[in-house]
Amino acid sequence: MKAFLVQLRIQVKSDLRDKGILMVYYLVPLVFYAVMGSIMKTLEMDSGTPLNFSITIFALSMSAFLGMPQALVKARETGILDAYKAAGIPAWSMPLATIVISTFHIMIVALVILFSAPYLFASELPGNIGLYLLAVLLIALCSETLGALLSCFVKKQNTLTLVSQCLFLPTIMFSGIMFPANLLPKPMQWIGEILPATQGMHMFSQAGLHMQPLIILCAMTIVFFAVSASLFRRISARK
Amino acid sequence: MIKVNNLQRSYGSKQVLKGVSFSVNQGEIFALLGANGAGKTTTIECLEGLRKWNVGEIEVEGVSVAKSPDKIRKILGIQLQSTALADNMTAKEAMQLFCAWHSVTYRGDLLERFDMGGEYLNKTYVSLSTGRKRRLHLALALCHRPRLLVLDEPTAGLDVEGRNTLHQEIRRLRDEGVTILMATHDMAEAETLSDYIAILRGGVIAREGTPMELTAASDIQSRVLVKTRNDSLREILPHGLEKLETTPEGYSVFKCKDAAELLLTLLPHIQKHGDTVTDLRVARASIEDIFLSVAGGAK
Repeated sequence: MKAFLVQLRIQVKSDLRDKGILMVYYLVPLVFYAVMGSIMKTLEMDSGTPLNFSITIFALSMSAFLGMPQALVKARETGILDAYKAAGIPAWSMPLATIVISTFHIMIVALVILFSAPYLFASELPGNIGLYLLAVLLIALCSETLGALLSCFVKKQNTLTLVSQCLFLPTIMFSGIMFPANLLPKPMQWIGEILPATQGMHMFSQAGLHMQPLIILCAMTIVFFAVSASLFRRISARK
Repeated sequence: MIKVNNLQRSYGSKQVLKGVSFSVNQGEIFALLGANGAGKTTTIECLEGLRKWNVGEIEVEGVSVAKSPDKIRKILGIQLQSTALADNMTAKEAMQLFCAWHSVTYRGDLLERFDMGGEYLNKTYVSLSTGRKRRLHLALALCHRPRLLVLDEPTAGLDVEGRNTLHQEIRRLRDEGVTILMATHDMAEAETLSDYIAILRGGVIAREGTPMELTAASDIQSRVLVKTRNDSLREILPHGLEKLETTPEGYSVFKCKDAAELLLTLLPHIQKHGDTVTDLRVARASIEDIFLSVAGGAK
């Protein structure tokens, strides 16, 4: 446990030196937040979901599908995982540390958005901030385990850049972040239903917290985690 | 220290290891030589517990690698051929991480020893040269004070200076009692550095011995090059001696099994003709020659 905590500390420090990570986890989501917030405020648009929540889902989807899987595939492709294994560092520590740290970055961005939106864009604070953050945490974990699952099927970073768009773009287009999902054609709505972000949007609307999508998200997280952990273990154990 | 017995490993229908057996003694530098694809890396990855094998036994200090891989990792320090760390991790952080997982206190002394202290301590991995990265990985492999160090192509991609520095460090580790198993295809490295050599060919150990034993037991003849002031070896030769060629620089070239015996015949002959030797070179059979003869090639 102590060693894992040291690994987390070192990986956080190492991440903060990485311009790519800062870009994917912080800069792009916050710039998107600033632009979308301004547009929605100017046009007085109402998508049916609080601005801070939809932008947070955008930010966490970007981190989970474009940032986190890249780190895992890179670790396998460049030999970092082999170096760890040779030193007796357990294979599970790498994906777990990456998921924990990715969640850490996401929660920082979520807090920045949550508390700045009322001042910048006159967005309302959620009634129960604790519940709101728990919901964000659950969607983040579900998306990251899906990202981890994706990383198990792709061997090269270049391929992953393309493949991860197959998750990220539908998330942006079909989940209701940009515009109400019920305006989309039915097939797109069906596709959207299997995405964590869509369930997240169902779960936390302005009407409050809904239980059914929460249960679906929990189930998805468990399945994605179990399958990706099993696949990662198989991949990292040489035949 | 290490006993490998009848190690066999196939990749699909291709059998790479067909019964590799060898022993490594405590405190020696053992070089496993072989061409690319000969199975050196497979052999040592099996030994490290990173790869499974089909048939055979590997023991380190009497402990079975197959049965107790975790126990072996405590004895073993490993430097892989192809390895890396996170781009933005510093040398100091890497050492902290590896020490934490080995449950030992931070080994700044090792970084200093491998010239990775001072300005290099806080340099990120991506900014280090190939040589520095090799030194860092070697330091990391030693953080838990292993009794056995396994190096896969330790000097691949290094310049002459980097190679020499690493060779010195490897010798120093041997002198401190660390047993070193090294896989390499660099014949000169194996010859100068190792106490014992095993040549892997066709999935088995084709030849083994100390560098001296291997070259002495070889049928490959030494080349003796002699240059004299008056060129007395151009036409007249002692009875029974046959010259291979005369080089454009004026050296008479002889091939023989025993250079000392040849010189005992040659030098009186030169003196007898009032001539003197101006240069003498003996090129004995090298490990590279042995390797090529084992591989079925010719030099």
